[in-house]
Amino acid sequence: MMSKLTNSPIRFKVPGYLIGPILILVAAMIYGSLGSEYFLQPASIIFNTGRYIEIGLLALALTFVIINGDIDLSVASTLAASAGVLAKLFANGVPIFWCCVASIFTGFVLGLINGIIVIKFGLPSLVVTLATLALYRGLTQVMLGDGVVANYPESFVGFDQRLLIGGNPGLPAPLALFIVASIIFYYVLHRSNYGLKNIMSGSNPSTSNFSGISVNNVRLVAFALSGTVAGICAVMITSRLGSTISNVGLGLELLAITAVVLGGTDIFGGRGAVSGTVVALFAIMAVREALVIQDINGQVQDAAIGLLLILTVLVPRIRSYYVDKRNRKKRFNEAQAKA
Amino acid sequence: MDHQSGLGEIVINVLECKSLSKWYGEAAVLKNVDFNLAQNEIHAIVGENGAGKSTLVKIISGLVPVDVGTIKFEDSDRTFAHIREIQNSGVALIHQEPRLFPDLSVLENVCVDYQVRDGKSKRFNWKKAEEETKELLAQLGCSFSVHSPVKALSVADQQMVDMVSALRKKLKLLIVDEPTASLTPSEVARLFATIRKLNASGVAIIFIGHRLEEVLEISTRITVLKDGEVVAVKKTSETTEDELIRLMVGRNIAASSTDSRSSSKEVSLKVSHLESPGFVADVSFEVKKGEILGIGGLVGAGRSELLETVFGLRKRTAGEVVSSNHGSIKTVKQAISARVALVPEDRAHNGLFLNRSIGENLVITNLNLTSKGGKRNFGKETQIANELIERFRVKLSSASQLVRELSGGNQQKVSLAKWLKQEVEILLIDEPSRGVDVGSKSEIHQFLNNSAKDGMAVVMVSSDMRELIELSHRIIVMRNGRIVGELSGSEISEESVLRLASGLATAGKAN
Amino acid sequence: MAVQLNSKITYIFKKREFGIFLFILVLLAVFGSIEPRFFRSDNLSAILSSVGILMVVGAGQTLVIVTRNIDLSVGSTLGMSAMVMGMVARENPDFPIVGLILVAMLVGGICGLINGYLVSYGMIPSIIATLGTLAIFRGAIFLVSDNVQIDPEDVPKDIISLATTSPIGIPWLLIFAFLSIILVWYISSQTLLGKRIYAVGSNPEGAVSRGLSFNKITILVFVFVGVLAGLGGVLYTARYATINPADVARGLEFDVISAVVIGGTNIFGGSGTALGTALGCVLIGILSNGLTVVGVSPFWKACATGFLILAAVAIDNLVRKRQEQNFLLAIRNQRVTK
Repeated sequence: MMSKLTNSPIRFKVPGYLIGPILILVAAMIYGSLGSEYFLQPASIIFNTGRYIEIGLLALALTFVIINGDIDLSVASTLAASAGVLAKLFANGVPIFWCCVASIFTGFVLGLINGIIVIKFGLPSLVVTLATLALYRGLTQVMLGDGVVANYPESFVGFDQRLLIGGNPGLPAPLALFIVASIIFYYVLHRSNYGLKNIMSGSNPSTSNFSGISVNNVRLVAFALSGTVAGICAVMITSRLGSTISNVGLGLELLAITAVVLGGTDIFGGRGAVSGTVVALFAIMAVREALVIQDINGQVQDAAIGLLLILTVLVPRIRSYYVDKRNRKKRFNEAQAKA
Repeated sequence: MDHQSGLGEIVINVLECKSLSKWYGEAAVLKNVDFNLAQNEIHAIVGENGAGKSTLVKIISGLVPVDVGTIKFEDSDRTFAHIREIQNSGVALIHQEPRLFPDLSVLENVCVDYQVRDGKSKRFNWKKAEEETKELLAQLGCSFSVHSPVKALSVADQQMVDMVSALRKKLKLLIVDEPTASLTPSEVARLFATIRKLNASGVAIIFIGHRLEEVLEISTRITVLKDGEVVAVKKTSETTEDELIRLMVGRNIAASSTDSRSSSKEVSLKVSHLESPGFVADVSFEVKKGEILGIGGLVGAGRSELLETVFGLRKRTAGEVVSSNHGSIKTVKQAISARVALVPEDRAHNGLFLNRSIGENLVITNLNLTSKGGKRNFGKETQIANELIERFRVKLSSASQLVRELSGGNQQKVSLAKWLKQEVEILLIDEPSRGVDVGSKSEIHQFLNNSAKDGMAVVMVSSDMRELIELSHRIIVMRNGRIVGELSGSEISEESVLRLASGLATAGKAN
Repeated sequence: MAVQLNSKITYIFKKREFGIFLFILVLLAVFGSIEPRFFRSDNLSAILSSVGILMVVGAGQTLVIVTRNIDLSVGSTLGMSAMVMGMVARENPDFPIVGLILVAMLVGGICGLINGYLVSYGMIPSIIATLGTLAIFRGAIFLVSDNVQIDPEDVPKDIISLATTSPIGIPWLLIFAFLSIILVWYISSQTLLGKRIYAVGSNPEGAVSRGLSFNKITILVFVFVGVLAGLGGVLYTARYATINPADVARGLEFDVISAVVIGGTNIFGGSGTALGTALGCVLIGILSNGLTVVGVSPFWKACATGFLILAAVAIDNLVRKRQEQNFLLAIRNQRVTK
């Protein structure tokens, strides 16, 4: 009768939410390598990971927010504001290291502000972060105006092209960072008390409160985390681009949310996995790069991802609809046969 | 199709249901149910929670499709009819919680599903509709304005709005599903008068009730359901409450006697002058070690809110809660560390995580035991979950099963068990046997009795009079957020509790 | 007592729009006193024209949000309609203007239909479905146009004149905007259909149990916002005369949702009015224009919008909570006195 808990990490079956992204990943890799022999070459991958990793990190943090039943539309604006602080301080002669620290701290504070407004006033996070999306972007524009901040030191620029572990081919630094981050996020979500509380309070906030979990604290931490990660991404993006303008990272929030949802996290909260977000990110990366090789426009690449997003949600629903229908029919026939 | 009833009169059936069956997932909720309804009768359906009453009327009113069987309404086949077709043919269902639109006005609520059929004008005539609605409301003795938003009305008034929207169509069959649960006696009287009047004017009525005395008062015929099957159809004049209970339960319930042991003198929890605006007003009581304190009252009297306030879940404006061993309790965290546990009434919303596994549900309150430095230990989690599952004899296929898939009784056991890995000194339990099968119910009662014997202080809210009276050593009765009386020993009787609860007697003069 | 309660409630309900109106007056006074140029009629009409497109699309979005849904794809839908219309006009210079408008609305309607089906029968949460179609429609703009932009000389003069000529002293663009708002006001307050839309948002389960066609109503509101976005595409073409496949109306969805929320529509469905949305649009317009006119850096505009949304939802929330408390107390008193 008794058996083990499923939440034990040892599981040999591929969970349902991974099937869609894995299929997409494999299909895109095949399609890409048909298009160009260089597609699966390490060098090609290395030079392209940088900008996806920023989306990936944002998506990892958003996974926590969305599992909680909240959403943070302001991540890209938070990133911009953090980058703005970094740039402004650098332009005023602050050493680059302290600029980066300030950037990350800014992200943390802005995320915290989101959380506090949502929780203290009991407002829907969708609306609050829509407001701060405008607000934080506005602050960036106020800070930077039309200007460009550039001339960052050599040692700071080009983080994404740096290789770890030996020479060429090696592990690109952003990818390494992402792998480490994924492992940390995995442990936090699936193996720590905080992760369990996070999932449970998204699954049923009222029962969580009745069980002694302070749901509001759990949510606040997730918002602060999302802000902090946006701050870190601000440093990465500044290093990668080597300059800062006020519309840095515009629209990244939608890409990050897409990665989270594609990875099987329930938009209404209570269900989700770090592995889903990670695989979904790589799937998005493979699809885009495969299309790039075929010389297909970026807007159409977005459209392909949008289509895949809808299909991954739609196909299982259609399937369960027909399974239900078949079962009903079977029962009806059985009863008819008996009668 | 006509058939002879016992007394020889000809009965015309408006509704004939033949061998209805319905599954939810793998669980059969209705098995081969036959149900006939004559035009002039008020037909009650009784049965325990989970017997299939609500499912049956949902099928009849078209809310859920039937899997197997046939439904005939007024000689036409309605088995697979769309809900709108069924409603337009004059069938209406009124729920315990009225299914209204809180943001819309009374008039809009009444008219929202109205079909404009007049060939002359395609525009909906709001003026005419307003006149009609006003008239119907007046007939039912309602005085509220048709323009007030429904969210500003009491539950009883909302039911009347529901009724009026049914009456605006040519009503032939009215189904009322546990309508009296949250009504005051005068509101119940108004509702029953309305039902009788409708019945006299030719509307067939199906009445689902859980208070048997009400069922016996209003109905002319009674169908008893048990575990999704019809076990008896009785004329009301030829049956008794005892017989109905026996049929519903399937065996005689021996009144389990409360042992006359006196609980210890030692106070475990003291609540003084507790105040939570809108729900709890100046409530003071204490509960001793080894005592089961019952809290009686009508639904909406503020009993659940009282427990929640004691547990630190609700904002309080005055008063204090003191555990004699652990001091003052203000927040849930303090309550839990003072070894207080709350098993709420609404399992689905407050007690359980339906979409998570049984294991996770049991572990969430025991994280201090299963983890170290915030890191989960799956081995310990499994061990604790299995231990609780065994101790409470939860029937399941595996601990990774979702709680949603368990029966009501087993769900209630999980909701209770999650607290009991660690020592509980004060158990607050709200409606311990709501939606619970008979077997689990007696297991839960046994558990409460034994725990009290072992020195636990239990505060129990229950609307089930038998449960309240059999288990409690002492009963306090609430009305409109206040304590209106306390009963102990020989003062405890169903009547005395009801009189206090409905305001017919004042404190101290219960009998 | 019931009557008293009622008049009080209608008062609160009306107060919402009245509140924004008052705030608009205050803003006007502030900006006008700092810079009298602000009150010049050409400036005032510039403000209204700048929010005309927002009003048209916002009118539709109001009904979508009332049903507990959201349409993130309105910007892409608008762009798609404008692009197709522009291409039709480029290929057929003699195409009648009414025909062009209908083409744009048809394209918008089809986009809305797709959204509606995905959300209703497909059971995909609207935020995900329209996040997907936001990207898909934008990709479609690129494919349809072959990345060739519509230039001012391709756009018929009649279309451009929608933004420049004023038949009754008001430019066509604004007439369309007002008509959209009036249409939504009419539907929501005067017709049964409107009540059903609000009913679905107020209590979806209840709507099903009362036999309302949940799916049809959902599809309908999405088609409706699509058609209005199509009309918005016409007005966009009239105003800007250039349609760039890469950035036509990019980000419009956020502005529209902001206006609707500032206008008092509850993001959880069930309540919200066209008038509120219109006032929300005007408020955004006055704020961004006023800041420029009084010489504040235009970079503050986004900040101001953000603050406005926060203030609006915070006040709404407060009012709603107090209202609920009042109802509760009233019901309680009523029961006690009985």
